[in-house]
Amino acid sequence: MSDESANFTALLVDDEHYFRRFITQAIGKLGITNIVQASDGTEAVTQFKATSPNMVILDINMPNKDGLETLRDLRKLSDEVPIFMLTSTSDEYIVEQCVVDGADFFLRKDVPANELSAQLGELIAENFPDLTAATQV
Amino acid sequence: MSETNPPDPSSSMADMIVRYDLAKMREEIKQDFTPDSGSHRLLNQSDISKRFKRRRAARAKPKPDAS
Repeated sequence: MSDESANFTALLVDDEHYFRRFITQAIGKLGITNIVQASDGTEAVTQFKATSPNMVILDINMPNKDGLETLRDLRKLSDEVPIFMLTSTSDEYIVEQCVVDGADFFLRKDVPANELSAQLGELIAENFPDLTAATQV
Repeated sequence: MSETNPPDPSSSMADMIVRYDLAKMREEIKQDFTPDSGSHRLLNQSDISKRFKRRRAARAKPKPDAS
């Protein structure tokens, strides 16, 4: 494991455990193995404060505190950490709201698994070139 | 005995075909699904990506040195 990936932490927020497992495997192949999980927005904020992650993958439709509210709360804590929305919602209004509230990107998860893995890989490579370069060595 | 020609069946069939302007229809549908009309449009991934380009470009830009 490279120093870059060893020190890299991702916060994965989704209420669907099977989806968290899928994303964990997908980004694990990219060398990201420190993955903190949360199943709703309240837990996400707690984990964010506790672990100071390098990036956040955030679902929108969740119980208790949804992804949009969580996004706003996380942005109050940090404007630097990249937050990627990952959701089956593709409503124009929601997408616009995510842009306004400071999300870095928005991926639809209602696509074939291999397509989603590839898109995640591209997104991480683009945002963390040092990390992906290290895993390719 | 006068002889009248029967109407050409091919031309009458052609008259019944309604020629839709598909591109125009799509544009009208787009106009219908706006926040103003109460219905929101669903976006595909490429449309979504365009909306995030500006923020990603701003983030990629190095911050000016504070010193």
